[in-house]
Amino acid sequence: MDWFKTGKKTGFRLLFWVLGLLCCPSLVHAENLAEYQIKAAFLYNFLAFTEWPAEVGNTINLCVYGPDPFGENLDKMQGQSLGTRSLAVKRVNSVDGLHGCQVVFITHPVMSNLRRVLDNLGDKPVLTVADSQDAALQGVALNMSMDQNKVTFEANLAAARSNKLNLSSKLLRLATKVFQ
Amino acid sequence: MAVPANIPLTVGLILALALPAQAETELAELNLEQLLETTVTSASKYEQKQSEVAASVSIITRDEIKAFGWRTLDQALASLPGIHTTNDRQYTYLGARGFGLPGDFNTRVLLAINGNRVNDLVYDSGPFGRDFPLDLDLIERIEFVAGPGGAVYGQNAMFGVVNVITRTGAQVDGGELSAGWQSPQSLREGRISWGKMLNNGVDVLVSASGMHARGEDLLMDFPGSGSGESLVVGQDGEKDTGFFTRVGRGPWALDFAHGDRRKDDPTAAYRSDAPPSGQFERDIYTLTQLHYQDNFVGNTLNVLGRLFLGQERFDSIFNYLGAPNNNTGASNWRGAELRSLYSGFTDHKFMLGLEYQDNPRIDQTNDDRTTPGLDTEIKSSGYRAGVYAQDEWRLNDTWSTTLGLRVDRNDITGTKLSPRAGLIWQTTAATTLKALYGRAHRAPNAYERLYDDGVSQVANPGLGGETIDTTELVVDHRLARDFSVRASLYHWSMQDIITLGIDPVSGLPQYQSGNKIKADGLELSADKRWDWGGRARGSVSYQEIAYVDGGDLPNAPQWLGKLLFSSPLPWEGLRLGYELQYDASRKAIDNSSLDGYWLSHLNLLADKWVTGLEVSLGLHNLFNQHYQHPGADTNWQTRLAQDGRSAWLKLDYRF
Repeated sequence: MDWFKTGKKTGFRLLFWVLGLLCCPSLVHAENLAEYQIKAAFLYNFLAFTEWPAEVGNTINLCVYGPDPFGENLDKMQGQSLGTRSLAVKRVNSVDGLHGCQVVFITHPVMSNLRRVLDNLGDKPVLTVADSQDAALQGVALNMSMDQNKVTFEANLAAARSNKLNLSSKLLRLATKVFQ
Repeated sequence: MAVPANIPLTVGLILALALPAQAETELAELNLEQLLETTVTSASKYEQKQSEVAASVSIITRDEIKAFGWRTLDQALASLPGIHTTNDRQYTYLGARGFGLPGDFNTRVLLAINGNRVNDLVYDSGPFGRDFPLDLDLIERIEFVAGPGGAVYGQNAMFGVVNVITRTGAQVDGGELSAGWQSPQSLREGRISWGKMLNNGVDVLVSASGMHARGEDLLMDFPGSGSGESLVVGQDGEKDTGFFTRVGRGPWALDFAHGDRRKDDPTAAYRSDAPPSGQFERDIYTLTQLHYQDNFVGNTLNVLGRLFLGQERFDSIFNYLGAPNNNTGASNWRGAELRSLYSGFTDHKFMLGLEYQDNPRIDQTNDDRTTPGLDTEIKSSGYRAGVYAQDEWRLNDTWSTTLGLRVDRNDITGTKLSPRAGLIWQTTAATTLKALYGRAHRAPNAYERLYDDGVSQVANPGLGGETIDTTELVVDHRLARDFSVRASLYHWSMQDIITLGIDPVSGLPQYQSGNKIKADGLELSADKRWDWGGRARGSVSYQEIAYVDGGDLPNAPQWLGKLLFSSPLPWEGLRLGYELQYDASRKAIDNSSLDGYWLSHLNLLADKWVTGLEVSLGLHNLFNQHYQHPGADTNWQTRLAQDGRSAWLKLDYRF
């Protein structure tokens, strides 16, 4: 057991150093990035281009529901500011744990529980995001997909509005499809 | 790779503090326009793109299982191109690419649960009906890799590998209660499951299920038995219990599956007394697996290790001249597999694997219960070992190749090589061409080689193994983002097929090496999704199969057609699933022809009426089509009538 724990630790260290020293400075010219690095950047933009109602407090809790595919890309968002608000990252493994989230990213393995997530959120001001086929159609506000090695996204404006959120016109303009 | 442990987080925080804050903000400063133009270099590991896999892969999702109301694996798999099923009112048999000889016990398709082999050691059987130990509600997805998988999986993977991926505790996330009814079989079934990812990161799933069916009273004929046509009352019953539990944490998972299924026999199988009374066959599978999978060295090294323990018990009663005859089979196996996948070299993905299986118990008995003592007892044991290696080599942006080889050694057929080769050409972003070759072996099982009761079968200890060689051309083309088509042209030939013949010495049935079989076929399939939530997928397959020295194979429909359509309905949040299947005529073992048939199945699913409740109503064989499947040598009947229309109601409640 011990050897793999150590292996994992060194693996992580290595990963962080590699990310920290090699890839991140190159972000300035960002052209080639790992999938969930890009998707994390999209996620940040989605939050920035969402109009949050006043009832949302000073902290926006960004919750990843299901096995986390972002890893450290998400940790980088912890504490970042979003206008006057700041971001807090949470990882959630149960629908019951979604209380207090302002953003819910539903990961692929738990997409079969989408119905429950939406029932659970009701009309609270929560932005739902996913990266699974047909997710926008099924009521997720913003859904990313891969098209020829590039990330694109669809929007479900009706779903966002039913959660008292407005998506900026820029976001809607860049979406490949907007469900009204 | 998830980051649940505290250590990496701490490391991350320290590094985050140590690094200039500039790196933090730049991610956010990338604007949407830039992001949309950014190319993804390394796709996530947890799903390999189908266009990159050197095989023809089909995936059936949980959503589809629900939308079409499938309750057994064979129902779900019958929706795939080139698959035809056969039922002899005892078991369901899976035919693939034209091959499905009556009397074969599903020996040539490997069935696995989370990568753990289910096929037993006495009969090599992959259970595809109710004898499959898992309730279908516990399945997240079913992966079917068509063609020989011997180069990685070894024994049984002749025509394909079916890997069933179970749901996890986090996916179940709470309790589930399920109840189902089916008429006219008077079938009732129930299930209770609970699953959760606990706060300490432990993922737990526990499930128990049961089923009981009275079955139908059937008008049966028993030609050659001396008994005339008669109504067989109350002999078609079925009873089934299942238990599954899965405990996982981080890279570790422990699976335990147990299934016990008993099916009564209305057919007087094995040429037993007709009409039959009180006869049955019972199978109990118990499968345990400890599974470990994680990434190392900056995600370039993926290590998979598993320890497994399997057990199958078969029990049956058949009457001969009024005396109950008890036939049993018992096998135990245990072993380990270690597989590592290294992607650290540029343009190469290298896989190396090692598998060892010890088979300490393979017992068969036969006993006339009216006489003292056991009449026949055959005990054996053995082992299997395999080493395999594979390299996926990306030659350039558009070409890649896969080369693999598995070396198997066992106590029966010695050392065998199973190579595979694949060449993939991504001609455009939308079109992929694959040329594939693969070989697989199967050693005879204990029943084929050793079973000998001096009456129904004699042993053949020197029986050799069989070999299949398959070449295949696959074209995958994406017509639109939500519309893809596939064509697969294949040729396979099987040498030394293990098949029932007649021993020249005793004049009794005996498993022997049969004649070479050759087959050519074409499978065309399409998958279309619509923005309004509809989906249609369908396939047409054509095959020609024959013994090389002449002669057709029984139970080999030349044409198969499948159409599956699912769509939300505008009322009450209903979802419709409609399935149409065409099976062309098949030959029975007496060379007579069984008519082809069209089957329709309809399913309605409602999940918005009451929060947490799902109601599904299904009609199987909607138009009450009368159709027959061929019987085997061991049946009195050369043709067996199949079920007419049946209605199905199922309630699923989450709590």
